[in-house]
Amino acid sequence: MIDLFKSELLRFRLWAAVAFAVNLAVLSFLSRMMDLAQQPIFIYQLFGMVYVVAGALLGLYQMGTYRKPNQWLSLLHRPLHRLKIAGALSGANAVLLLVATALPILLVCAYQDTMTARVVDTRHWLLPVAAWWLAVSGYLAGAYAMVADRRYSFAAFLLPNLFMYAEASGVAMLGVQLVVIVFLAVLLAIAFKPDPSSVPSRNPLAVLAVALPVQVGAYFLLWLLGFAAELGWNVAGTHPLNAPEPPKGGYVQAQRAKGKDLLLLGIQDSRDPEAALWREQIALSDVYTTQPLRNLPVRNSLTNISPLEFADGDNNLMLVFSHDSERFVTRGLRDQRRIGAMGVGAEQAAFPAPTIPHGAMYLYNAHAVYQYDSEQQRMFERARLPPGEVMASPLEPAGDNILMFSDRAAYFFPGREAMSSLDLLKPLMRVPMSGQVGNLSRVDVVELLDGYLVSYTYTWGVWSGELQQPFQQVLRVDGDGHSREVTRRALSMDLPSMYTTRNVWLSPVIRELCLGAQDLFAASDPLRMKPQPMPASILWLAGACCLLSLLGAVWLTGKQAHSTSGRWGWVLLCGVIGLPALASLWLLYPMRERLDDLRLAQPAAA
Amino acid sequence: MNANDHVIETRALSKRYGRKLALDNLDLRIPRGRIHAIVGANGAGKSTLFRILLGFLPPTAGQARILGKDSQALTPQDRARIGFVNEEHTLANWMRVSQVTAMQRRQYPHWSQDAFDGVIGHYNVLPEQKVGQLSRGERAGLNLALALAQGPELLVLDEPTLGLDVVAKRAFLESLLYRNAADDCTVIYCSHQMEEIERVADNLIILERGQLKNMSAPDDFTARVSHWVADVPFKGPDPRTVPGLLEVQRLDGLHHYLVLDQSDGFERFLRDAGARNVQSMPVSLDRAINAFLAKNHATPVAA
Repeated sequence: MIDLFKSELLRFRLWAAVAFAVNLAVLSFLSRMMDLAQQPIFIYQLFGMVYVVAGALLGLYQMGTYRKPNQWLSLLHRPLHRLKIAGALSGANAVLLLVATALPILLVCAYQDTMTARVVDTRHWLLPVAAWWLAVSGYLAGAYAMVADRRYSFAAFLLPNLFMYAEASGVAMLGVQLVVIVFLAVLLAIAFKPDPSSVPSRNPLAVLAVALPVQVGAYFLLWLLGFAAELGWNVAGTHPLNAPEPPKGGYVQAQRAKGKDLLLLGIQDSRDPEAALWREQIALSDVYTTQPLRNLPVRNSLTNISPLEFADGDNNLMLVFSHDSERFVTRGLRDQRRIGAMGVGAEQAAFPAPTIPHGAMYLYNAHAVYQYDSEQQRMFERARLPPGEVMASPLEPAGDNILMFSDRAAYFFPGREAMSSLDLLKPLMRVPMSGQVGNLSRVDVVELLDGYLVSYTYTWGVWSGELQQPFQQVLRVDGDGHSREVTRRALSMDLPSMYTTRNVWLSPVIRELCLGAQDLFAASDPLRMKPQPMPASILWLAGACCLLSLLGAVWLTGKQAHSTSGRWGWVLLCGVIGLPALASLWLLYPMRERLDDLRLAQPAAA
Repeated sequence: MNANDHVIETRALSKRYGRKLALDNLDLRIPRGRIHAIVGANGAGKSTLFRILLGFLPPTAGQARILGKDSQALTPQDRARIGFVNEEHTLANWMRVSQVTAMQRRQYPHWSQDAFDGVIGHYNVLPEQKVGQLSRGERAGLNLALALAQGPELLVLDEPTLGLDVVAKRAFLESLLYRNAADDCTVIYCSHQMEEIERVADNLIILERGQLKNMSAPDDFTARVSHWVADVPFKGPDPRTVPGLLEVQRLDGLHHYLVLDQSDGFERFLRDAGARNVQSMPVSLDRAINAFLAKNHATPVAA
């Protein structure tokens, strides 16, 4: 085994050396130009994608050369267990990917840590591991795609895509990567045998492991095919997004409407005695529109939503938030020399969560809003959320006052006090939300003579099947902070429910599986909502699809070679999972090879 | 003769590719020892047979055993007993000869350095040379040396001289024969080169369209095929009526018949058909096999 391992190292050593040099050169150049530890997430995603693709290409090439019939025979026809051969080949490439991906990042990390005043936290030292595991997952997916039957093996490339959607962060995200790597390694181990195209028949768990990515792939393919319907609506000119006027009372209209228009739409049917007055005031006043946050910075996350840094040019200061010290680390803007650290207030207290700049004046984290005072070179806490609530939108102007949202309510703070002092502000009023912040797409506020008119529009997730009853709610808030509902207007989805919920009725089980994978090892996110229950009609449709799939499996397994238990296991699986399982059954198993029909068809040899 | 006396044993072995039958109900039993040549036209099922025997392809029907083991359940220990050399001589191009040799030596428990040295001595191969730098003939020699040094009980050579020039072919055969490989193991030699078959084979196996057509000593097969030259006026007998006909040609006004399994009675047939003069002569193995294989060669319907 060690000989094969060394042989593979030898084979790709030059490639690895070139990849290492190129990676190090690019990272070194970028590191001279910018702080690589403080880049927005898409930069890390870009590098991550490059590593996954590089690993995948390596796997495809390596196994592609071995997978030729004579090469495959030479490789596997030797007195070594097949798993030892697979381990030697993949182990060698894992080592080479370590050199090509992790080592350059490690060197750049060490450079930034020891030779610059930039912040390098513990989380940054995990980036080489993350990059390496990304490349290894790409490699394993590529290797499996090439080794196993190509009718279905390329579905393995779906697994690294999970990293784009996974909600986990930090070490938990490494856990997700490890799970994907282990799963792909199991797939490769199953396929790595003299006849790789045969599906394991004796081990039901192995069958499920092979079938799972194929089913998820079929599920996404069927889901994507649904976009053909949208194409048709576009061609017909009836798509709500392309129509000259969006459908009245619908989702698109609510999304596109300006603040004034949306508030007017919200109260158009109101019989409130003040409604006429409000309409006049809306026409004359400014309407303030806010979209809630979808993510908050997470402690020890490997990446950043956006850079956790800002500059104070007046004082020649660069302030960078450190996850380790929970304070902003300061360095000279011009000389790049380390100065010190800055916490909250005079006591330089630690921030309770990673804190991110917002606009020109404020910084925020999950619990509070802060203001940096350049003259005093000090951080002041300006607004704080009650325990149990998290930030959904930091301070925004709303007429004379300023507005902040948590996941449960809107808070109005005195604008004049906010401008004239640096003290902790006390909310003037609290306006609770009746819906879930995860479904909230916009908040529109207009200041009245005595209070506010507040519109909450809950449409987030309406086209992804997560929200079934979108609505707009308009509240009247008086000067004392008492709120009452003026109107609650149900909004239509604009697209047929059967279309927007196809990710459910195609296979409720796979949808749950995908949602579970997305949340694997992730801490609960109060800004995200669980999908709402489906209407009964959609559940009946899902049941009909499962029944259809079950009947299809009875017919299809009759034409394939299965053991009795295997056959009825597949029938049951198709009944539970639905159409994607039927598609995977068709892809995984060829039709049974028979001889009698062939002999009848062939003319007798002369 | 019990099952263990056969290195290869198939029972009603069939393999279907789509609408084609690569192996058709093949019953084949190859006894232990000696050199067995397998010949057949392209598509006769030779490669399919080897892939099934080595467990790289499942049969559609029937059973295949190699060295007494089910071919679909070979263990690494079983594989150590079976050497395989294919026509591409697939070796790691990026490794040096010494590295490849060292790797094989460690992997095979019955490695024989003498056998390796004995074969590689026929070639001008240096240990420090990279495999990718070797000529095709040198690669073939190295591959044979590695296979024989493994000490296999069964050595399968699948068209090992394909693409080699005359000199390299001769070197390959000499190194194989010089080692007296058949003394230590059973050799299955698959080739299209009839002069090689003639030189090395003790037993001739002919496959055609996935079926076993002959298994005998080469001389016995040659004796089955006879060449008749007849001076027949006009067209001669309808070929469809000629018994055992493999090939008919008209050269210089004489009819040349290659026939299978015909005795002196064939002369009577020709004379009855109007032949004024009939002569019989022996045929070479090359010609006999070619005629045999060409008999059922597919031709367009219109031909």
